[in-house]
Amino acid sequence: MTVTWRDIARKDFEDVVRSKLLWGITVGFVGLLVFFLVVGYVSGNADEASMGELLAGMGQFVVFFIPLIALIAGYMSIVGERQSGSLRVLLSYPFSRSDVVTGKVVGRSVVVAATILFGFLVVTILGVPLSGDVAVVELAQVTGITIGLGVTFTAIAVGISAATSSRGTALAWVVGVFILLLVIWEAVAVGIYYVVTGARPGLEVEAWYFALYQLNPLEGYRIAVGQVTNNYVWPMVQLGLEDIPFAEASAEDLRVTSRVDGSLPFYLRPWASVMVFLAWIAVPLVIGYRRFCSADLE
Amino acid sequence: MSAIEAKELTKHFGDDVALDGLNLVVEEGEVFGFLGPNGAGKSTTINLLIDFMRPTVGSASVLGMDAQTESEAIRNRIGVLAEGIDLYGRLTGKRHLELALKWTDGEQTPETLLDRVGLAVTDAERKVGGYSKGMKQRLALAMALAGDPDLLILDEPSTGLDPNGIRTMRELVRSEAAAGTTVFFSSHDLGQVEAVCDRVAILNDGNLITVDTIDGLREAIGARAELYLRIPEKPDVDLLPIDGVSDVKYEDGRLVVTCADPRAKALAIGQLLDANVDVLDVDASSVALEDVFAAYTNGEVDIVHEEDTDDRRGRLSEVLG
Repeated sequence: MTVTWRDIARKDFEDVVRSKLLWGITVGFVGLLVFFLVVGYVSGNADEASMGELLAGMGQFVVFFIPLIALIAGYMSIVGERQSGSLRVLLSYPFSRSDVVTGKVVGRSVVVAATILFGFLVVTILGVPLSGDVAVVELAQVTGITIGLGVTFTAIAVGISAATSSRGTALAWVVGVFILLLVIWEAVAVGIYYVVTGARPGLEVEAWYFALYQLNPLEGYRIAVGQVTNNYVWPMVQLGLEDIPFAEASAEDLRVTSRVDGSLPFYLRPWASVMVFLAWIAVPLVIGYRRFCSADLE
Repeated sequence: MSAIEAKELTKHFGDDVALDGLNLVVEEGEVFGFLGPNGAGKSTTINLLIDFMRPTVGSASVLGMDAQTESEAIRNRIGVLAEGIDLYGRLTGKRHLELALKWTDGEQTPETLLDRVGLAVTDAERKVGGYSKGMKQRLALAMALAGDPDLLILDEPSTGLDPNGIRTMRELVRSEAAAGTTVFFSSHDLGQVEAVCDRVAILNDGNLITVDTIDGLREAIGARAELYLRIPEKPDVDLLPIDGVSDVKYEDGRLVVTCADPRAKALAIGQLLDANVDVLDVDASSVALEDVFAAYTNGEVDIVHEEDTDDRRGRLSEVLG
């Protein structure tokens, strides 16, 4: 028997599940979901809410919390071991550097996926009695897409962790990428639209404008969950750069399906979001792996 | 087949030359000391051998395999205790050994390995995060022994060890060598190397100064060992006839015995005691590593007096004791 990435994934899982930080964030995430559901129940809104509405409402928090959890779980995975020196112990055994990257991304993805499953289990236990709606298919689809989002950000974080040689650099990259995708992306998309058409995007807008959003895994998640639940997933951060009367627009008006004329093109379907996830998994990992492979480990 | 072979092995970090054209052969079955001060290029060499780093120029082979292209196969057969390591603080010591044994297909039990490095089983049940530096070093040494490697590469293995731990480590190296394992052992401490190695390479500032046997090294560094004895009055004993004593001087209540052979020092003290001379204190000069370099480059060893220096790095009171 020779060693493989599975050995690293197992060791890593064993190590990470003992991390207090990760448990803290997970408890925070699940606690927030519970709080959200209970507030909805107490205020009476949840009475009439369908499971789809609950899930779409959760999506707004998921878009912030799952990437946060995944990035925190992943950004130290390789560079942390590299800086502390435990990587020098690990690599004194017959592992290749690709074993390290693969094992790390799998190990941490399992941790993140387990967190998500736990969160959704809580949502199901609380949400089903609240809404009186057992929407198994919707729940399964949203859980699946959410795990996809979690794995994507884990891969981004592990890729960054493999590519950098110090914790500080890795942290700077992770924070930068998160802010870019969460906050700045809208400005980029609106900016491109403005340059092309000479006007800000209105409520009714060309489909290609949303393709710019679709390239961002966070927005891809919102678009996909919106379609699966047949609801509008509010963004976590909105700059309000679009030419839309936000005060008058209802959630229904803001949905991609409402804003695009006719049926949605293929690139705005949920599976396109999955392709975007795959691209965001592959590219950072390939870049990280290549840099890690050629690095001198001091 | 040699255990380790380096050909023109060179490593630059930017403009800094860490290792400059190292040519070295370590034969199978020997305990090979790799001696040099901090920053001499010892760790760089080891990093190149286990593919933690890639050479700027040159190549190396370990157990007949190329250090770069066949690194996984090499690491399958060697045990490494690298420098600047850390372990997994959230896992227990025993778990570390179980993993190491699994990764190396080792047939030993964690308990055997613990016993060999002198770690208590109760300590092994604890998480490594609470270990002292010495305990971590012992555990890492035990991990290197997992899977009964053909070659042990130990980079400054005495780091963080107390005298007891250093003795355990030495015994371990001797027993591994007796079992046929090749040991490649780096240290900045002459005494460490002298105590366990068959042959020694001396490295300074990225350059190989010499490769010599331990006897050759002893001769070079023992050439002018001095013994200082605090004696109230000039003793009426002639020490010059002792084989290996080359000079005797008495000044300011101190007898200075210069010995060409370090073994003569004990004889000198013995003879004084036999003559009932009241010896108040005994001290010996130590040879700094820098002086060993000088011995090989200039053919002479200079002595650093105990009281003349604050820098205790690379001292070797043991060799002369």
